[in-house]
Amino acid sequence: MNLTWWNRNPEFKKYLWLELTNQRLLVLFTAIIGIILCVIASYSGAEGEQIFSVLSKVSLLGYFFLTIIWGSKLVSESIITEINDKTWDWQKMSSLTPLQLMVGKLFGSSIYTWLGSLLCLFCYFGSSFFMENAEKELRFGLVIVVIGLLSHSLALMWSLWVVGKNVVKKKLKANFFIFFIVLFISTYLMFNSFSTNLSTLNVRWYHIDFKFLNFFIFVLFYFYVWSLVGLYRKFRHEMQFRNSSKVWIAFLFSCLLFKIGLLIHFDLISIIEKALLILISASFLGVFFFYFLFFTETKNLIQIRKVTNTMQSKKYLNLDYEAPLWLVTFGFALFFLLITGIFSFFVPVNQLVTEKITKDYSTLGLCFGAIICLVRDFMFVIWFILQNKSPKSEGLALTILILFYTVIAYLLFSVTGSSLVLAFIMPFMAIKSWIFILPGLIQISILFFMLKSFSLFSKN
Amino acid sequence: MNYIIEAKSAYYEYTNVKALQDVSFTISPNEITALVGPNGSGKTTLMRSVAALSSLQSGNIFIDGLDTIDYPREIHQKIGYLSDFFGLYDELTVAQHLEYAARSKNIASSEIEEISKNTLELLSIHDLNKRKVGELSRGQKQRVGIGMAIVHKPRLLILDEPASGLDPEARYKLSELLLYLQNKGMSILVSSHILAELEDYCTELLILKDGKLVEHTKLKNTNIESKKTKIRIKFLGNINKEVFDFMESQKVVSEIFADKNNTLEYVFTGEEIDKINFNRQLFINGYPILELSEPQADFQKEYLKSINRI
Repeated sequence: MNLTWWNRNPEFKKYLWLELTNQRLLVLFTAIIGIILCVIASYSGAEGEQIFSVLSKVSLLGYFFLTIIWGSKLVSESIITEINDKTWDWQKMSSLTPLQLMVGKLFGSSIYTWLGSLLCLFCYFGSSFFMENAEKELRFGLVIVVIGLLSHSLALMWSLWVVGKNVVKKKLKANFFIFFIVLFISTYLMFNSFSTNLSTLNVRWYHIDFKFLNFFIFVLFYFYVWSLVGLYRKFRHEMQFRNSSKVWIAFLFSCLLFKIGLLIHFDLISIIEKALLILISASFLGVFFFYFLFFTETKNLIQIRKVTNTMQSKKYLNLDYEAPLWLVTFGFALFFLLITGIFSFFVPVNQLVTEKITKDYSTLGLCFGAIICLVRDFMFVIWFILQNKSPKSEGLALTILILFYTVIAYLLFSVTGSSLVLAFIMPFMAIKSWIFILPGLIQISILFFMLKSFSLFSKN
Repeated sequence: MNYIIEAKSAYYEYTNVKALQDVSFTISPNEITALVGPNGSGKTTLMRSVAALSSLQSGNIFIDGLDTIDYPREIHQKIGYLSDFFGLYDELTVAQHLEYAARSKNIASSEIEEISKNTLELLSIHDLNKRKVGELSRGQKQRVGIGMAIVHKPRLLILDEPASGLDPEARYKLSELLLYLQNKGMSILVSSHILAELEDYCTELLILKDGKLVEHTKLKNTNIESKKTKIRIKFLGNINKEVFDFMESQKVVSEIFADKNNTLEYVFTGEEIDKINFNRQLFINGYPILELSEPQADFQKEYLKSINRI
């Protein structure tokens, strides 16, 4: 009986059959070894360290191309191809576990490029030992390995998101160029930052001092683990397992804990002000992730009806499974904005803000203004989607909202010449944030009456 | 009674289309059910809902007593599903496909070889074992797809447009295979546009139009416990009242219907011995009988009647 671990993961084994044919392996190893030998031959007369320096750069470039570009492409296409070739339904109906499928897709679909990358990494680490700044090079090697892993994980997440957004379509196109542009820019910025003074900086996190590079490895790994958790949940969803929203809430709190670690060591402010800073951070995270999910996740009448019916039947515990994540995050943001507003009302905050800000803004006013703003945007988008019933209505709603916050705000400001008028749009741009509350409430009331015409409760 | 499929007010809505509306029906085990309807009638949505691949927004579908919404994973183990494109990997061999299917369906490693061999023999493709699927004909690919779908011996096999693109010989072989699987106790739900070919092996007909079930007809009798048979008698000359009176007096006869061609149709509900006695009595009474037969359902006619109300 053959009990090798890939035999226990049929999905991974399938990719071994598909990807690792003798012909392809021969081409890969010949190409990589050929390039390495060419580099060595070209610099045969040069000093030892120069050869190793060039070799490490070429290996790094090879790794970047094989893992980050080609590997990410293969991983991102792994599910889209299954859908287009009509094999995805079969996989969803198999006895494969979400974990088996995730590991199979993540590492199986890119196994060919990983083999090539391993050769490149071997060459990179090998040549790093002979270089002047060996320790830094080795750490940098570790960074790029984690970046490779993270890019694959994000690419798969992206394609699962595309699948989730296009459940009705029979043929999918992932438009990965957007993903690759983001990936390319972020990798370029990262490479650039290491070559500058950034790498010499120290970062303080929960009173622990990290070298920038070490902290960067830690951050990448931290978010890589979370991206795997997210992927696992996406696969569970695809394979019709129910997901609890507790894991998402845990992610939000872990982001908060991470952020607190960067803020907590400011010794100049009091404990109460630190507490307020934490609450503001939580509110900001809630608002940020709410808008992010609200415009990336699917929203439709069926989803809303599921939630309203669950509430109507008073099965509140089921909301843990039925409520979409954008709605959970909406609750998270509202809760922390409310707590922050109340907290700031009872606690005098003088050191935290400058005199100008203290004069113009009130934390309480800002928090309540933000709550109204959030509710207004939420109601508007839901109303717009229900009104238009078109697959493009989500994108249109986002565009209108962006125009509202930028062009309309700018025009109003230009025409009137008064920043006071901005208070009718949002609390943050207007002086005296309290002014937004009344117009905000009027806008919510209008949207409430517009939403009332839709049957948000299922007849059944 | 235990049904293999039981749909109760199934409802499914896309953003702006109602794909299934109040669809209710039951299918007994061991039937081959044809699912037909015009494009966009909701066939695929119904098949996906039966396969627990899409969750209904209201109503229920039970497979072998299990609700598709509450137990999708358990239902997947009871079902074999073959899409219209068969869902195969061109670069893998037939043997690799079956091994992959068996492992993905949690079949023990020790049994995989035996099961793969038996499946290949059943589908008459054992000689293609080492061939890559990309090199096979459409009919052969279909057999590999069916092999993958039945490798775990499902209770219900769902086939989406299995006959499209097949040559007559491959269609005949498919029909033979489906009848064989039915004899082995499998229930089959099949959607197709080729009605004439469905006629050869289907025992029930479901017709969908605009997301609604417009017809559910029993075409052939497969249920051993049921004794209902449709009979047709063609008489020489007009059917007289005496014949009607005789028929109506018989307990084993119901649903009597006469048409203009001197033909009488009725449903016989007795045992075989009752049928022999009844037929003998018909001849003893001296009725001018030209033909006595069990009529075959005309799929095309049934379908067009339901869709166009002709």
